[in-house]
Amino acid sequence: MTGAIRIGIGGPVGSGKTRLLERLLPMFATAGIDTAVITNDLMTEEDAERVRRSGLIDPARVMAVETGACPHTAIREDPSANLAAIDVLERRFAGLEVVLIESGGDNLAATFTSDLVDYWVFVIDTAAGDDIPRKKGLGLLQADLLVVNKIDLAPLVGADLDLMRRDVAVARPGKPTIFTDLRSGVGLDEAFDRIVRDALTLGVLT
Amino acid sequence: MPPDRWDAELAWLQLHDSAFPSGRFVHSNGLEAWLAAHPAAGAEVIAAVIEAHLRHNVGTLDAVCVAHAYRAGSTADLVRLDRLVRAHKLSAAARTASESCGRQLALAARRTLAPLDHDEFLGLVAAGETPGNLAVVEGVVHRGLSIGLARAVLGHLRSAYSGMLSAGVRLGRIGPLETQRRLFAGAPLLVELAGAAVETPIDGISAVTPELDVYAMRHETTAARLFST
Ligand SMILES: Nc1nc2c(ncn2[C@@H]2O[C@H](COP(=O)(O)OP(=O)(O)OP(=O)(O)O)[C@@H](O)[C@H]2O)c(=O)[nH]1
Ligand SMILES: [Mg+2]
Repeated sequence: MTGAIRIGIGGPVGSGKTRLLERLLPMFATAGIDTAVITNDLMTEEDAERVRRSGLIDPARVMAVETGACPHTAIREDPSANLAAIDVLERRFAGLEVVLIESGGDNLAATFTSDLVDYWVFVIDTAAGDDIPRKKGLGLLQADLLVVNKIDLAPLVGADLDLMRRDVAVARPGKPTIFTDLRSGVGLDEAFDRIVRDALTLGVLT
Repeated sequence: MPPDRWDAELAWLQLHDSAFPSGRFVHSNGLEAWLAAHPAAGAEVIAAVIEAHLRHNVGTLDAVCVAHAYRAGSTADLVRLDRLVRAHKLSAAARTASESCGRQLALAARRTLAPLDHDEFLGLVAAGETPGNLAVVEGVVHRGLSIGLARAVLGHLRSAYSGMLSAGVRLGRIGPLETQRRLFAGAPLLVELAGAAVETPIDGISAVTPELDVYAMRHETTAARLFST
């Protein structure tokens, strides 16, 4: 395929999608991968502004997309607003290799369509309940990579990480899951390696 | 009805099905900002605002241009028409809504509707060489699928109507059943506007909805919003 590889980052509100972006951006930069970002904020340009101001990436490489109160529609049934944003970024930055697309915070059934992304990550939060893997939301079942984030909070909310590991293994046979604390960076290298390696097998990043 | 006409009927349904991915659902054409400024407005008033938008904007500008695009003799005529439509879209929001939906329709149509694979005008839109206003693209797409002219114009109006009502539903201000009641009762209005649009010469186009336009412009700089326009 031509154009940049598109990597989706989805998951419920507040699970750590933007934090993951912010953590990955310097790693992509260090690896010399030409990257841009699209955020699908629900209501404001809050996340886009946060990434622009972070100093982690040229602000011109960050675009915000509104989703008409339907964050799942914008990544699934009708990704046209996101496709249009990708188009703008690809025209603006000729050597673009990766576009990271953060979906608006949504429910466990939200999935990215393959018409929009080549690869996608679903981020959940241990503090939202250690029973989430058992709920078998489509996002969790189908994502190329599951990130179980905020493991630092697990003891504080009584979330059983071993139980989550077992449930995730059952829910996602053969698919990778990484447990992270994106505040301290635990699991981050593994997540980055996995994303880049799987992007490589797509034959796009060389 | 001969079988080939059924094909055209089905194509017409497909184009105006809200599932067709042309990005309409992220546009409220100023309605989001208008609703925010009129927190007490009920369904009656909201429907009146939407109908005014149809009567004095979509019906008199876009619908007319759908018909002219449909009848255009050449790609060069379409490009000229496309520029003319842009010139009549006064706010950035109006241009964004018209051009982004048109462009997305062109891209989706080229990828999914075989008779349009090699359409020259849609190719220019896809290449970013002409703005690709929705009205012009719709005229081209309907003609390319052998859908009748009157249906093309009516479909455009109907989608504009249902799209605005749907924005009202998603903003929590009109019920979905109320919306369907309005859509059904609005049929004579749509037919009337379509009939007038196909008769209007190109120098008769206009778009005069200052109130919604002002709200659409305010919306451009609103920090908290759900819709693109
Ligand atoms: N303790 C802890 N906090 C985290 C971790 N990851 C993210 N956070 C915090 O969780 C909050 C939400 O993180 P975001 O990255 O904004 O979440 P999001 O998924 O982008 O949220 P929305 O875009 O609003 O859906 C922020 O305050 C983060 O600093 C983590 O691993 N541990
Ligand atoms: Mg976020």
